[in-house]
Amino acid sequence: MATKKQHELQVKVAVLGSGPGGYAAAFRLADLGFNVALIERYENIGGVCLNVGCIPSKTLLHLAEMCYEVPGLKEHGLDFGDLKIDQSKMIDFKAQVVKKLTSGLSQLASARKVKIVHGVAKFTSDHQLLVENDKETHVIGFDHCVIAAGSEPVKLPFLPQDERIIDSTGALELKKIGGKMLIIGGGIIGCEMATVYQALGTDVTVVEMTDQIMPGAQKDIVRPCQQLMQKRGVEFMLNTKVVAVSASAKGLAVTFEGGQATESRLFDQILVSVGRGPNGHKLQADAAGIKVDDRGFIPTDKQLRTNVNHIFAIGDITHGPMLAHKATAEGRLVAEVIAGKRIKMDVRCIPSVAYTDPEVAWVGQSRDELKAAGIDFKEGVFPWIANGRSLCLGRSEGRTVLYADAVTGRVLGGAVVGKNAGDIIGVIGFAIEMGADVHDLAMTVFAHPTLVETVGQAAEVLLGEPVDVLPG
Amino acid sequence: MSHKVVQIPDLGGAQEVTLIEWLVKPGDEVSADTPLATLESDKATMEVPAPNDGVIESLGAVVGQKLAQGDNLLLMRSLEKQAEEEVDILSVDIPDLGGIAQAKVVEVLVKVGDQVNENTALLTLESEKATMDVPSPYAGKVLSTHVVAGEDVKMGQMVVMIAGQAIKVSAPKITQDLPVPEIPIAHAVPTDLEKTSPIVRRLAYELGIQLGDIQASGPKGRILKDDLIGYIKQRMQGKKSVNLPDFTQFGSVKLEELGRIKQISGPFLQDAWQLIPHVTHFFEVDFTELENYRKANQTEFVEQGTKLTPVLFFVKALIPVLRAHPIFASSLSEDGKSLWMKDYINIGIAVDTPGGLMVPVLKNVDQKSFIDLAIELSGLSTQAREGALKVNQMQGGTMTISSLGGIGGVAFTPIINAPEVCILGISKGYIKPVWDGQQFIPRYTVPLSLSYDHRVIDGAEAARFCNQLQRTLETMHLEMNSNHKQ
Repeated sequence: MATKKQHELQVKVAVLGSGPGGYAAAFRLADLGFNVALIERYENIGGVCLNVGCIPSKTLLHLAEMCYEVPGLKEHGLDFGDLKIDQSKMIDFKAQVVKKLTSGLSQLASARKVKIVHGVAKFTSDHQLLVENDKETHVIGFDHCVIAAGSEPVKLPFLPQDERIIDSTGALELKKIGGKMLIIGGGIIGCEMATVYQALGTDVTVVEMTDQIMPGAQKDIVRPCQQLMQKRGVEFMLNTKVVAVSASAKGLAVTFEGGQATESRLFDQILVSVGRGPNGHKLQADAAGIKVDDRGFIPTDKQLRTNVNHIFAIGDITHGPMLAHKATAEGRLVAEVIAGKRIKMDVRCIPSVAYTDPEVAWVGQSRDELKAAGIDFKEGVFPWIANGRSLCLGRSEGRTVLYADAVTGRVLGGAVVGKNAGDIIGVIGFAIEMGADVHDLAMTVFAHPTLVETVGQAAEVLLGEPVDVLPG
Repeated sequence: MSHKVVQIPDLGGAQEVTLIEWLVKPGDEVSADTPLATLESDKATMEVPAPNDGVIESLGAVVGQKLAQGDNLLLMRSLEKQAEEEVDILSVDIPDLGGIAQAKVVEVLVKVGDQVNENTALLTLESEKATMDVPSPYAGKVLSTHVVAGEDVKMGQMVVMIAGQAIKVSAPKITQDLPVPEIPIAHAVPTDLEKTSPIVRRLAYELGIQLGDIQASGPKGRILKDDLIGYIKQRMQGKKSVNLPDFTQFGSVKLEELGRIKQISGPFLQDAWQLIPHVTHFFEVDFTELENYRKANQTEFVEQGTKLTPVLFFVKALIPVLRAHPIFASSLSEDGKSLWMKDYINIGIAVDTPGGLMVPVLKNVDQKSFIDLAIELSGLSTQAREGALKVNQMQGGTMTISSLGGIGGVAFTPIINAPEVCILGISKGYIKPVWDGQQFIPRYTVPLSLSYDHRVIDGAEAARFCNQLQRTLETMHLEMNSNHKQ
């Protein structure tokens, strides 16, 4: 074996991983005057979110939505003819969007003189990383390190090795549409992929262990989404788990346990979306003395500092929801902590969004959490059937829900199902973060007719003074 | 071996008791009914007996602590086979602080009796570099806490005792049956519910301000950024007012505006009093001869349209004393590292006027005759009383004299007229019996107070200054009489 070319590099801060957390940290650190190396094991920077996560999936989801929306216009007087699907063009479009964003990031990195090092990184001491790729190795010495090495899809160990069994990354390649597809795991990613594949003419079955899809969301908020997906042909198997899969030329025979189905069924492909696991065990963290828990998470304090004083961890690899926007917020914060600011992670809520059709979004505390905490709260639900804009769009299934403290009126949580719910939830998150009262939302003048108007309308319902529906 | 938590028993009607004394210490062997501690309620004192034979493990309260029925008192290791409550006692130590030698406890997040889970934050620590929470390695009940906020702790130091399961609760492992949830639900109930925006919370944290200490002025108790800024300003200036009760509840009251001079001089006096470390030196001077001289020569001054007041003797006497002790005529530089030494001697005289206290300044007193000074002082006093003083007539003082001699009092502690470094206070003279070796003789004695800036002047220097001032005044009549005769 030929010896690889070895480089040595000394930086103020090494950022491990270029996803939304890592690049935010690296860019802010560079702007704060630090000499930064940004280490990425893949060819493109941007991490899962840009390359195989949020961005490509949302591109495909947009196209999937059109598959229903455009033919639906026929009955309103617009007939665009029959749907013809060209997968390669869809993939091209997705690739263009990804490229636009990742090349933009590369430009921003080079303009900031952030040194990008490609390769797989391992700690060799608490002040040194070894980064290796096919051609070369880098020995990077650092004063501070930010671990933003993210997560990977969890694999189910009992599944056979078979190219017809894919994870979310594979699903985004749209290698096979049509036929029967089983999606194991009815979380956000599973539901989003079910939406894409069903729209493109695949018979999708979603199997979920718990009694609801999108665990964590309130059931009544998920229901309109689940109903529409079912109407479009997605089959849901709740309270059910997959216990065995056997591959043959005919297809993948799947055995279930619990729930409705016990007999074995045949599928053409299986998408595994049972969650993501942190990459904490892949970094040789013990060489730096960094504590990693059994599951691979790296615990931190509120300044995102690991047990090693000058090493920080952000994003999926540390505790909290595995969400790009959580990682970005942490990335920005950690840069300022390293720059010596006495600040800490102090957010009151982080929104969750499923970009299904309709979208499902929730933020702050849910009804169940409030009940469990014994908080006296009030709830305001505004059905979109009474919202003009929603009807203009030919949709009526949406709902906007607010929870507020019964005594003080302070907004504690909210949820939205409907078109653009992911955009609308931002207003509720802002209200929670500002410590707003439900009165503040009711007294804010929203433009009419809009979908975000339903936040004000839900506030009015909560206060018992609605106009567009009858007071409860 | 089992452990037993001894709790405060039924108090027989008392709501609360105070722990007066420990009768045992950890390691003591006790038998059933051995008194463990003395408690005191508003009605009686009582002793808590040991429930069974055992060894005292740890004490769960401190002397002086208020306790109620059911509160944990101590932990003992039971020697009885049958114990009512079996627990494992686990100590939680300060973990590796990541290279930092010690950290300060910012907050103890749990209290005795709290149920904690694995990873429940027990303490918040702060070092020069970071703040961190100390999580509980065990699930169980907090038995005792051994640190308080503000205390410095080191790695390995025991901070909390937990009664619970010895087996560490381990995180569930990934199995095929239990995939990691896609989105861990992390909507914890927020603990600080002050109504503020994110930036106000961040600024407050950066500056180490508890949001709860800030008076909110926004609608419905919202803490605005201006409130935070106002709070910081108030803290920087020192709190300038006290919270007032509603006086009308005690009787009829009326709010009257403070005089204009007091409104203006108030903040200056406040600053001087807070910024200058004052020391006041008390001494007395035998004024008998000068008082005789003053009475004997008054007519001469009256003829000139003025009056020979005692304060003039002090003005004159200060000249040689200030020359001999020039730092008493100095001002401290703003950085506190140098002194402005003044060649001129200008003496400010505090004048009581109907509008308030004014301090006109007699300029270059060393270059003026006694009679001229008398004339100038009466002029300035008249102007002060008429409110006709010009700004420049109140500036440039080297030091100030404040005389209450005409009114009364034994002594007082005058506030230095910053940026001067000392002030002389004159109290009311009295006849003092002085032993001359054979008999008591009546001497007219004036008590004096010299307040000085201790950053500039040491106590010994002040004492020497006062001694010289005293000698100068007591011998002044000799010189004046000889001058007068010439």
